[in-house]
Amino acid sequence: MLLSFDHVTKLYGPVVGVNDMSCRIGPGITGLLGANGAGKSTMMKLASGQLRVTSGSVTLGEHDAWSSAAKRCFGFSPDINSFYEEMTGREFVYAMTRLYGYTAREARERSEQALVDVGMIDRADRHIAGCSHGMRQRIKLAQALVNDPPILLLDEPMNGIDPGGRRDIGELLIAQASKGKTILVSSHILVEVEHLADSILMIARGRIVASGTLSDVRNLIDDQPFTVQLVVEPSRRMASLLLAFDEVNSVEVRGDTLTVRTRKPAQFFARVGELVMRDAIVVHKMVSLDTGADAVFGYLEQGAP
Amino acid sequence: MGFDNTRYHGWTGELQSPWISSLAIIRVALLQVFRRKSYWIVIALGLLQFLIYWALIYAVNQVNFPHRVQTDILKFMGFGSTTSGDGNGYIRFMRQQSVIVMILLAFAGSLLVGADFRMNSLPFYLSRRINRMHYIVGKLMAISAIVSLMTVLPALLLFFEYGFLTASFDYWIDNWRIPVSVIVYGAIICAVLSTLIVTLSAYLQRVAPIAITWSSVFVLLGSMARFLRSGDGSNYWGLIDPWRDMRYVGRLCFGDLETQEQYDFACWALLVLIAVCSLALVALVRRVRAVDIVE
Repeated sequence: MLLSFDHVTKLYGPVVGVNDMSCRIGPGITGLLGANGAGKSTMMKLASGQLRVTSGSVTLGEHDAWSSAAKRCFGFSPDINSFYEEMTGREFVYAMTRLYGYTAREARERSEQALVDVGMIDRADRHIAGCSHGMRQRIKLAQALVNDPPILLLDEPMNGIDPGGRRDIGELLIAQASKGKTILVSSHILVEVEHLADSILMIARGRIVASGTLSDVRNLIDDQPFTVQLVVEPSRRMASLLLAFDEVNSVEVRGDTLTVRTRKPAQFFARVGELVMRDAIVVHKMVSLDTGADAVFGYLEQGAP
Repeated sequence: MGFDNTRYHGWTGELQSPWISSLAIIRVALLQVFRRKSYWIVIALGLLQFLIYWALIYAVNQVNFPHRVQTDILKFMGFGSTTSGDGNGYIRFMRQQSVIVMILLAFAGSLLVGADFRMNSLPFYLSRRINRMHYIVGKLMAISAIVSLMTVLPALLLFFEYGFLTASFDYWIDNWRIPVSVIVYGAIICAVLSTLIVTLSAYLQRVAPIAITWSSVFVLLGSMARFLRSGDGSNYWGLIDPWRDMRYVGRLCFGDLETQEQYDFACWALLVLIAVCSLALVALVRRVRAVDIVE
């Protein structure tokens, strides 16, 4: 099912939440990245029908996000850590399932299944007050999965979960996505989104600054040099050789470490290979410093209006 | 860990109405209140009072006390004409139970409503098939359920006990207005207390401010009313005392008013309660939003 934002603007009085945002989010996992205050939570709340747009429209399939029909189409896991401390995880998930309108028996079956899927079935009778942060995240995920929705809206689902748990949750989301679900994951853990998401949506100051795969987005930034760090011997000779190339913008030398900025990474790497073979340069280490989401996002945020 | 979500089967049945889904809110609320051991102290007070009335009614009907002793017992306990079988006893019982309920709600308001706002848990509700009206009605009904369990239900049980002990259906037939009045009066108490506590809790959120404000509404306003009434002697200052308003409306329900002045006051009291509850509802609807906008 498609989640669509069509020229959506949301104003909180004089404060702009999102500004003329348009995008289509289809099946698969889409990572929603942005700094604090960028508009990620606003986007999530608009999609989940908790906020009404100031202008434009948000639709889930053919349903307006504000409608009752749309609320059957998604599961939402908010970025909240404290809720109903006296209830057990099982009771909480069951109560949230009943709010969908399922009968008691159906709600019981679905909540049990959701707890199995998130790995909480053996700890479901623990009171939420006694649950760790990671366990609470799993419970939140369970209540989002109970109605087997075609769209999942997950706000910081990996927060506080140990690496093993993140792997499990990641596998769960990938399995859900393989069934054709549309999953929007908002996160500050950029590395996790990088490895999980099929596509990325980057927002800054209420606007979408980039969308696509991470490499597509990176390639779009043609006015931002690519940064590579090399540990080589002899470093100064290597630096002088690299500066002769047109595609190299700058070379910074610190001991044996060179920090090179280039606009054409493919050509650059080929050149480095030739130099190593021809001039007997010893390369101890070569790493790209900004292929990750952090760097890409940093570039894009700087350029956001 | 392998995941197999083929066990989720497609739902072919009819989803229940969102209004029925709101019953889940009531269930959760009752679970939260009755799970708190500290609240059981207050609930036990209400239960104790009910048992005392129950025992008194039984004793007066079944034990052959001399009339003077019987009267003295009633006066000593301060129950007045509780066991006379007319409406007075039920009004007094429900009013006394309301005091206990008021104490319970001063603390339960933060748990049942304030926590939703303090912990920002509204998205859990509003991302479901219910909207804010369902949420509000669910919370109001949850509070009303608690109030009814401690006022209306015990009063009805006392009514049935009294009739049962007379060993005939005459009491129930002759006094059929009493359970109707109990239910109507109970509905008014539920409406007023639930609207005020839900609205207060939505805005104040924490236990201490709610308890202080809640107490001020029912204690301070009463004292102010008495002070103002002592000034110019006008009985209508009593309209600012919500306890007095509810008491007179209760007497109106039971047909217990003796003078035209009391009847007029009761009508005005009803209007005041409706106006206050309406304003509270408007404030509540504005407050229930998924996003708290800080200006």
